[in-house]
Amino acid sequence: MPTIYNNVCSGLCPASCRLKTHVQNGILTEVKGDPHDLYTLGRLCAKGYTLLESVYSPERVIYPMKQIGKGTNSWQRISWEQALTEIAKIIIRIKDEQGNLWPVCLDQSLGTKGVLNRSVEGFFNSIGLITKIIGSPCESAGSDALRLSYGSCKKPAPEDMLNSQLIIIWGGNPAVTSLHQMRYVFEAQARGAMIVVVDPIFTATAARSDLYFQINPGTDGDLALGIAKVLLEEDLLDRSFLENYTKGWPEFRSLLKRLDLKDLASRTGIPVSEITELARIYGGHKPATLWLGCGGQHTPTGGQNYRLINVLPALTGNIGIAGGNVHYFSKDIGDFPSVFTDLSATEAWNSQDKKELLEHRRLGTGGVASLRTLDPPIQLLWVAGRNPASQDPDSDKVKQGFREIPTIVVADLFMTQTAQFADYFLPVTTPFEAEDIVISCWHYGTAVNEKAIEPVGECKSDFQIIRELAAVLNRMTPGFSRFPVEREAAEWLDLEMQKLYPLLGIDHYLELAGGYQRVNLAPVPWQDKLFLTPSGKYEFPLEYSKVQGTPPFLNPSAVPGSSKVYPFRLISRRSSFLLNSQFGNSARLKSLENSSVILINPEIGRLKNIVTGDKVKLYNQLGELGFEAYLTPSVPPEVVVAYVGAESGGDGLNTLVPLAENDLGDVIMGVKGFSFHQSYVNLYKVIK
Amino acid sequence: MINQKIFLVDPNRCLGCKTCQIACAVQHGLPPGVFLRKVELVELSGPAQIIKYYISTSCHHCANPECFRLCSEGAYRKLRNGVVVFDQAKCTGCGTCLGSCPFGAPIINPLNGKVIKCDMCYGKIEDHESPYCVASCPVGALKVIDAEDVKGMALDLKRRLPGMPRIEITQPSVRYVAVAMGQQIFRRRVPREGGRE
Repeated sequence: MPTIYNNVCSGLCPASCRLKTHVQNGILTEVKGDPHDLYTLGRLCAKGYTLLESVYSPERVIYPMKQIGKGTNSWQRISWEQALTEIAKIIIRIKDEQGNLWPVCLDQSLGTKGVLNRSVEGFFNSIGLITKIIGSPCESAGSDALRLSYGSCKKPAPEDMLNSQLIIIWGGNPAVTSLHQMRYVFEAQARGAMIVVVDPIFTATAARSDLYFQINPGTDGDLALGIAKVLLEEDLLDRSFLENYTKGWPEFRSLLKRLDLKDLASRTGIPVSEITELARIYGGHKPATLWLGCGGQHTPTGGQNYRLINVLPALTGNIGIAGGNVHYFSKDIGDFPSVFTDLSATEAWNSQDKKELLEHRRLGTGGVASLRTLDPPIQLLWVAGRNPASQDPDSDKVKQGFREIPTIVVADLFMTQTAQFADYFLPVTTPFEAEDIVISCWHYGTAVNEKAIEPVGECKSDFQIIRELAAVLNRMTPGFSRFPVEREAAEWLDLEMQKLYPLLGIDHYLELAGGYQRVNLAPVPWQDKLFLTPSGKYEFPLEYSKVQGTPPFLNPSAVPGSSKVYPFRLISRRSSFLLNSQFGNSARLKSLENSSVILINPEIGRLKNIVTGDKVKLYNQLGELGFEAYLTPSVPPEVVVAYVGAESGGDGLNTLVPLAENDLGDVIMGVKGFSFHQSYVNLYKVIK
Repeated sequence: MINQKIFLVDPNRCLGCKTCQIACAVQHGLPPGVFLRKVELVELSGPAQIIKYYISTSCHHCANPECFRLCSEGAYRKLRNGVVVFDQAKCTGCGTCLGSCPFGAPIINPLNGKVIKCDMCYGKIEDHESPYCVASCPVGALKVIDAEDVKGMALDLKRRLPGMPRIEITQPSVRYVAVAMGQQIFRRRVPREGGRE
């Protein structure tokens, strides 16, 4: 009989599926969904069914390795002792030579969502002031939009969609990214709710909607303004909400009056009559909810556009009511302070060096290419749970940046594009090999990863790696790290979870193994209409403009970007079989779909004599990438569409995406987000 | 009297996530790239509308199975509940059934050179459980029902959907919910510079 353990998928995904793991003789024999998971009902995704294979994948790196010459693929297996001693020596040398640790850089993200992951940053805090890559390539501009409008980024519980009479899915494709939430969408639809999708691409989600609007990419703010103008003109407003709970309405109203609906419509590509219809639908259904994806905010004015979309629930009083509001992300869980971030190196604050440092040096995400141009330049880069060579824009520059950094440490499962530039590869554990906790940012479900098997090979968790590194550092230079190396993972988890125990209704995290537990946050946000903005009211986007010191900017799509040389706008979409660059090496998933496929409108296919299956090259000023053509009327003629994480000949899609900030992200994260969907390309057919 | 079990597929729910396809392959221990069920995209471009849906297909457990008729080894059987099962012990790997099935359901298992095909997880059905594919679908787009239940269902059920080949000779035991496409507002062509469309 197998022993059954409780686990949770730790990928950066809203579902955070609880798993039941079967183990026999120390080997995983089956991984399946936990039927008691109230969000997933025990149903996983295609990727989830390959988790077991990934643990035993022949491609997984299971010993510490040292590369003799960056990018040479000449690797030597070394012992942990050697790896950690050599790395520690470099860190100590940097401190001795430089007097501080700014030349040490941490680039960490959510390759795994385990709570113990935070220990890596905690460790670096414990050795001194370093350079940190901060910000998020993901949702940050949209999150800021909510923060500025409401004062905080909150969302309703997933099942609150069942209370909606209208669900507008805008700039997202949950048929790929949120399978389980689609269960609620279909159930709401069966109960009579209307499903509307706004997207430049006729996605799998759009195909299941009652009403689909194909919008010009990046003109979401124009459409929102158009809807708002019609709501105003046709008096479909909740005047009581506007008068009592908002700030800036009179000014915003006069702005709306000045706008020309025809002008807005022509930018969006959606006729005035259809915008009017959408406005009447939104104004005529209450409660109505908006489900915003990440896609719409990855444009130059994406943050402002999301602020303008968030005007709509305010105009109609769809805030703070069941079935209303906006489903985006919740930052509530992230607001709980971490015990790891409290760690700091006291001596850093009393530095005798003339270059006295008061804080960490912070660099925006995507900034790897500039690490060597900083003063002092980066000498050691530690990458954990990230793959910047694939996921950061302008990948060639990122790789060039890697070549120039003297020492790179990558902690990962597989030989990623980034790891190919590592000097030290430190093999990490899967969720089945070390204890941890995962909290969903979508449904707040909180689950424990029990250690089901011993780590394969010599793999160690990120936590265990930095804990041992701290010990090595202190052995070589007593007191170098203030990381409490004697503290076990279990004790850390208990400490880290203390603040959440009351909201989970438990006394110890091990109780999470007993069944589905969810952090008890309000299922409907803003019911008290007490907003967390400076004014305590919902704030119209005018305030944003004042804060930023710029005049009201209500022509959001008039940002230059189109190109005569590169006539096609490259938009990336999610694959069901990739999670960013993760899962890309699963043979089973690869057999389901060629990820390096490019969607082209048939009209363009005719012009360029390209048919489905043809080899084509996509190129622009940054580089060239090979794809397989797939002709589909689901994409507009001026747009070509590829998968996030697509790889071709060792290079990723982001080779063709310039590094360009969008307009928000810095309010919460300190740096702005990315305009992933502002890349222009041309293409040609490859003749054999 | 056979009370045929049939797959009921709802294209209005199917997301194309292929979870059913993978769940089946993994839980049957098939090597990567070998599938007993496939999810395919159907996309038809009309004058005002795109018909677009995903469809999950495996062995249809036909009422008149050609595989059953043509197998010289008698490896195929049709159970009392209509499920077409296959006895690998009798299979010589001749491949006749592969050519006979209009739906490409039987395949050669590269692990042993013998035929393998969907058996509707009949052991599970007998235990009143769902097949792996049905149990894995995140949105309930796939079900197994009894043929006699079809008439009483409120749903508009079809034997085939737009874009599917008309193959009825074997009487496949599958029903589809009629595809419903919503209203689609495609972007108006933006005049290029100089006023040219």
